[in-house]
Amino acid sequence: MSQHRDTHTETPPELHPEFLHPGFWPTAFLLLSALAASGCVTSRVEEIKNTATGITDDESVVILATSYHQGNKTESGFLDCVNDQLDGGRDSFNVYPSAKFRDELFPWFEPRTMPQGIEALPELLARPGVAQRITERGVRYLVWVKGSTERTSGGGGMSCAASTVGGGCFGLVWWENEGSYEAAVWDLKKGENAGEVRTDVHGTSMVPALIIPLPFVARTQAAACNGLVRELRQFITQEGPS
Amino acid sequence: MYRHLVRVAILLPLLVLPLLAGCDQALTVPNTFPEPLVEPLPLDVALVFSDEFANYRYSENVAGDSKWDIDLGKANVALFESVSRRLFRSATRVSSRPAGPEAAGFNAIIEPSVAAFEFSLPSQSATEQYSVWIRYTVKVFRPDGELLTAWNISAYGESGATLLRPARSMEQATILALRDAAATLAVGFVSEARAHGVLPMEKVDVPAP
Repeated sequence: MSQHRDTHTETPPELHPEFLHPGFWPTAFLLLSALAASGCVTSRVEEIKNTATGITDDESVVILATSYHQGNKTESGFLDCVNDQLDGGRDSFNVYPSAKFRDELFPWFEPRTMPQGIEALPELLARPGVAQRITERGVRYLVWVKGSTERTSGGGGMSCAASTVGGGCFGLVWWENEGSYEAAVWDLKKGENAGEVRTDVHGTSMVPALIIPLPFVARTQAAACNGLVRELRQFITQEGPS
Repeated sequence: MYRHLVRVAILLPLLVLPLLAGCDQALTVPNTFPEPLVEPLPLDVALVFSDEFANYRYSENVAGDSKWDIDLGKANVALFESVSRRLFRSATRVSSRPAGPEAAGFNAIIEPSVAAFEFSLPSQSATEQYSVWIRYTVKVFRPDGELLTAWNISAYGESGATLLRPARSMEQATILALRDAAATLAVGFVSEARAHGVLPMEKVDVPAP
């Protein structure tokens, strides 16, 4: 059983003609100031489910980053975001703290020793004490996160000057970020790869400045975190194929 | 009032950032490590930590960046003690390498040293990462003083840069490098010990022809 799902959302900036009256600029300034933390973000979420999932109240999930020895550069802030969001809110389930899990199973989940694929799981669980310790903690799923957010392009320029009588900036700076993250879900109860969730996010940010710089920052990483968490929550809690 | 605040908001980062870039960075690496989840080996070992190892400090003045002073000594000792507590049947810290009847109670004497410590800053690597490399040499002696092996353990750790907290990033990268060394020691000691006669070779059942 393998099912593929694909979601695509886009939030392009729009300028409606009815706002082009004399009161437009003050209104626009206020709106833009209020929305200063939201540049343009486009996101896409994909899911591939191999087996039925589901989680009970006494089971938990551990979120881990794949090894940097494999070139993975997942930011610690992104992992914190996934952990925090999965642990709270509606349809939440138990998330076992990853640092505690790594300490309690040391040295088997260190970047050099962690299993590189589902085929390494039986060997890991056969090591003395490992399966017992995982079972005692009620850990049902391991979620392996890889990916990062990178700046892909940018341009423009800004000049700032400051003196004892005042200061200010003039110009426009823009940049684009691409966030691409993948989470593989291993079901330790069944000993198999339950599937993957993937999110790709594109964000365009800009800072125009006319005396005061106004940052319109696309929260690319936060959008990727939200998308991945939403899909992961659904992936794990929905017992049948989603 | 408003103009004054704007001036301060613009000028403050311009004044503070260069000062931070030139700051001396000193850190003492935390000395708590988890005990490994492994089957203890049937060995009673003596652990010898030289003064140089137990008080190891690394200092480097990075041109155009900061001066770094990293105190690794306590973490060195904690790492080897913590792994040894679970890896061996018994591990006893001794002040100097035992000899004669004093050594007879041990199957092996272990004396680690730091062979090399290196780091790389984001300003040097043009990445967002702080990276740390540590190479330990673990000498294993027989109770009669014969050197059985000088095992080189290479460890690596990296951590993303955190704004205005370079010491925190360096500490995280160093902790990961130390954990990497501990993991290699816990997982790899058995094969190193078998290859050099500290432990008997594992019996392999050869199927009958």
